[in-house]
Amino acid sequence: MKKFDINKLTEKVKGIYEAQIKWNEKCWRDSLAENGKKIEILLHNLELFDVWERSLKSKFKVVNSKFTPEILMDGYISVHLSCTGLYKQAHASMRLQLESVLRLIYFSQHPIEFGWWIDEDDYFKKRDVWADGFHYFKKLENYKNFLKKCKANGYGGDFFDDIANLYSKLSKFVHGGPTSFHTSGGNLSPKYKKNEFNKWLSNFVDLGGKISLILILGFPEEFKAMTKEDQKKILNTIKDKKLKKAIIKTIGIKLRGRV
Amino acid sequence: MRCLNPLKDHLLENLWCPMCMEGGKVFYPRLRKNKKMKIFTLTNDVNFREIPFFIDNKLIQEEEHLVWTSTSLKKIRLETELSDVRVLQGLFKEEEHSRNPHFLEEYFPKDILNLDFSSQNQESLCEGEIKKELESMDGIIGLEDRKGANGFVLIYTTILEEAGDLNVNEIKISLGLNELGQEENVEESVQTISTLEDKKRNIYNLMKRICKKYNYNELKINDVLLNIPQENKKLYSIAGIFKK
Repeated sequence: MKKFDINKLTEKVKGIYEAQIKWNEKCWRDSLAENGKKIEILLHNLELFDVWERSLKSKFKVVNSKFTPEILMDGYISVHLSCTGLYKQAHASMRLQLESVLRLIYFSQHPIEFGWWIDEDDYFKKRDVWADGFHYFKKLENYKNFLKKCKANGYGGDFFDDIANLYSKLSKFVHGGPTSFHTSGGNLSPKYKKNEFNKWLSNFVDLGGKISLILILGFPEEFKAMTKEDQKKILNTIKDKKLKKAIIKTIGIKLRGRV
Repeated sequence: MRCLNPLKDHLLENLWCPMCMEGGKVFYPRLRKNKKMKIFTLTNDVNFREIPFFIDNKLIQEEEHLVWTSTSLKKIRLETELSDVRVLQGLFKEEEHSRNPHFLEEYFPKDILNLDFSSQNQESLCEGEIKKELESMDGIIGLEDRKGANGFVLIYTTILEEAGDLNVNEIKISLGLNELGQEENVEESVQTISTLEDKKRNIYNLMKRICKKYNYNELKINDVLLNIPQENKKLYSIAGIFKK
């Protein structure tokens, strides 16, 4: 590989390189100065995908090795993009993360279709696993029980409507809806914006909790086989107490102390 | 976590590197400029100094090394810092393949085996699960044997505590060392040990016997015990040259 020499770069290339290095550094510093501790928690939560990866390895080897690292990296990249002020792209990465989680659940039970999807990545055409209002997931026993437990625990919404709403919110960033423009406000170069960052953070935390719920329901036996400490850490990503209670009752685990 | 970094530097300079230099002379006597040894090392994302240190000391080159770290985020960091090095990730001593490491076959044999378990979970500093660590060592030495290695420098590093027992007999049974017989001592085979000196001595003996199981004999072994500042714990490292 050739060695990098800044003096050999042409004028415009040198310009974009130097601007990007400074932009990245400034945005990272501004983002972390105000939000370092929050990002630390997000990174701890991302490491929980290592726990899932270990737990799914023996039973769902191929599908797990394909999706779980990708799910983790979509989250990691979303953090990176938000800390460089690229909130639109950070949200797009979150939608990819959610899609990979849903596909992981589906393909873990459909290894033959997984092979077809690998060979032909538009295998689903326009009807992916979440099509028709999560029809596939709603038919699964665990999810049906969970919805019942949600109602019994006083959760007013519908879990799949919530996911659909979040998916739709993230899609606006993917499709470049007017609210997602990062050039609004007169700047061309992205900067740390407190409001935008907080909006992203709130969506990221919301998505993290929903992903935990989807994975626990998709892989209840693997979740039950985890250590109590790991179970608690995963449950702690679910911020809504009613949903947390509902999932604990659905899969029937007992945990000591506050969760 | 950071308190181990200066200790690791001490081990690197005073135990690991000198032992690897001697190993280089044994295994590659004709290579004078660079020994071109290949390393497998358990490391972390903050202090992975053994790689540049061994490169600077002309023991290894910049490629063909295998690094193991505990989490994906650490793997990302190491892949960025050490771009020519293959980084694997997981809880090494928990991994099925650490005892029966077919997964690692394609990367072996290696000349330097740095099993630094203290690097893997620095967030919780406590006595390593020595039984699991030695089982992993057994898996790796067995892999070296299967892949036709004539010898290697073996480094084992762990955290020891005054408290806590070590059931040597359980480890021997697990590793099939009791079947070797010849060095067995009835009194030794039933003991559970708890003093630091006894732990050190037994780890020393167990490491030799694991290698012996695969017909690797020790040419030289040294060890170092260091205090971990502000902790009632020790960092113990043992390094040796083993050859068929």
